[in-house]
Amino acid sequence: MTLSKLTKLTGALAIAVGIAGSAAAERPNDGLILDYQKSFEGKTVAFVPVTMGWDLTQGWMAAVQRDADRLGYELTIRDPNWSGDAGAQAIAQLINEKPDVMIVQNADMQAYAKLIRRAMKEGINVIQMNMKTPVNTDAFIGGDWYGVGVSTAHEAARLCGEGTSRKVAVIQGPVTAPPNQLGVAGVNDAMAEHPEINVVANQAADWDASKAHSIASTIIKQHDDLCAFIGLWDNMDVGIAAAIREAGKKEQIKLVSTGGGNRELGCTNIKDGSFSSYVKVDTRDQANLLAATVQMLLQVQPEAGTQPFGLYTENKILTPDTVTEASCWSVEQIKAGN
Amino acid sequence: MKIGASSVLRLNQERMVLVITAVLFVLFSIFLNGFFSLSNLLSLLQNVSILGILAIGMAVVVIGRGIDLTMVAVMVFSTGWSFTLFAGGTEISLALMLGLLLALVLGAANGFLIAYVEIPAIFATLAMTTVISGLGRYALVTSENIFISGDVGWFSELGSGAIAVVPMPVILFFIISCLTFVMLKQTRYGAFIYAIGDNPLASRNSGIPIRPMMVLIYCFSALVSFCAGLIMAMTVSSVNTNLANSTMVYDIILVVVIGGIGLAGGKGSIRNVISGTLLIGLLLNGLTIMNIGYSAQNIIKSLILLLAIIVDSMINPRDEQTSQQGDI
Repeated sequence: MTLSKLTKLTGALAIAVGIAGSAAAERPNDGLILDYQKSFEGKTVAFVPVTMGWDLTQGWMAAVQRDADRLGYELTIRDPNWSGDAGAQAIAQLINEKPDVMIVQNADMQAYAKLIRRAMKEGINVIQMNMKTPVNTDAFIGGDWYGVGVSTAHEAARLCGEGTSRKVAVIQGPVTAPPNQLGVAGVNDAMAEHPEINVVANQAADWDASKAHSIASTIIKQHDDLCAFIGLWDNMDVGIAAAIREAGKKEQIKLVSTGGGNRELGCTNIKDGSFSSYVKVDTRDQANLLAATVQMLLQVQPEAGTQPFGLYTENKILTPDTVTEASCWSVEQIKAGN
Repeated sequence: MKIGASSVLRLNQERMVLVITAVLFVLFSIFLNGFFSLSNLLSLLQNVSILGILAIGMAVVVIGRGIDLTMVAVMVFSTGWSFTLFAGGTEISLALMLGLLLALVLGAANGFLIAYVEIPAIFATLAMTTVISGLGRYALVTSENIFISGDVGWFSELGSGAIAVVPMPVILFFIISCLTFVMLKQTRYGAFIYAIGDNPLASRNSGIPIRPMMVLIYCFSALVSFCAGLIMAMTVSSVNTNLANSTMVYDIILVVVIGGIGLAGGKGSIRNVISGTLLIGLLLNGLTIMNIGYSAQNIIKSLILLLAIIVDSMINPRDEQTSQQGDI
């Protein structure tokens, strides 16, 4: 082969290798992006909810599933549908399967405490959602239920100021449910700061709209000049709204509600005036925080339980005057990433 | 045989419940402010109308010597499915028709298991409750609480309308009671139900088609469950499927039994259901007015009902022939 041909061949070869090399070479590395993308491959994240039948848990999982699909980790959901035993079994099984991150939604403050401790001992990073056991896990994302109660009470006091009868009725959920207990404690403590407000009734409606309707209609008949109701969950409070509507007292009786900010239940009712004030513990915010926390834990992989942190959702207050299109969310929206 | 004097004083379960109801009514009217007013009494009736309607369905089943523990599950999942379809765009009448059909199919399934496969009613319906709840959650509804938004047309009157001052649920309770009363007392199907409840073997030997009748009975209770569910959904604009996990079905049985319909079957009528419903309604209303806490309410309710059963047991001593203690 002549020197010129050899030079040309070498040159062509070098170019080919260069092109092939650059095609096989990864995207420009800013120092973090490649490690970031690698850190999700082959990882598993597991979720044990109280039930998947809520917009709450569906919203959270919509955001996490979105991330799982685009980043490449695997998400498993083991739904015990309210059964504490089935939930405990699911967690125990997951401890054997050793996911990288386990997300647990507690229904109360005690049931899963030992299991969560065991999971962390096995090296699994744990995130607790919505309700916390006394065990501090790598992260906690949830609402401040006591604060929600306090906010609802302050709102009721604000709406029942001068010129009204200052009578307020409280309709709570199941008496023994921890979010309810904390909420009621908040309401009671805040009401102590408002001695002018008269709490005329405090009844439990078990998170059931129909029962709330019955109780509310009885209370309305008893107290003709009632100023406001405080309801502790929007799913239940639609029953109270129906009772107020039936009694023809929509202008007179205010309803302070609270919930996750689901468009159907929350914003629709705020816009049409059924809810006079709404303390929003935004599920969409929680969902995004959860997805972000999963990303962080999968990258950093801290030793389980050594650096716990909390992300308590801000309680935002929505009224018919301040509510906007963006105030509420739907599960489809979260799924689409909006 | 001295019948005259003793039969006047003879207190059966129903009379005792009416006495207790009357006593409570008088006590509440005197001591509770705002109890004895037309609007409160109507409110009282409205609050127990759903329970009363369900109790009518259960009463027919119990008279036929059966029991239907699936009533609440059928109620929430059939209406839940209807409104899930409606939220997805199906026209309201079609959605409700489908829900009704589902309820009837589930009732027929219950009846089939009990009449043809011959599983005792309590076990069959207990198992079917879990099946229906599971099927419902898996395939029929997307979330536990189905909020009904959008225009449902005249159906919304069923829950929140009123005729004169009487709320619609109360009127519907009354209509369903009358229709069921006529069915039980005036038609031969009613006579068949009593016969089957009293002595199934003798009924079969007399030529009554007990197995198709039993399927019909459970279809009836499923139909009543659907109607109650529809009224409840229209009252609060939502369907709470979590009721299937609650103790509501035992409240229904309590209303039926406390009113005087024996679980042994073969006796009782709609009047018993109405007395039981009135007692429960009175209790709930009075305790709410007194603002008694939830736990205390439960205790008081159970004590009064226990009292009714104990007094009944004492007044109606053990009948050696049927070895039955009390009237229940």
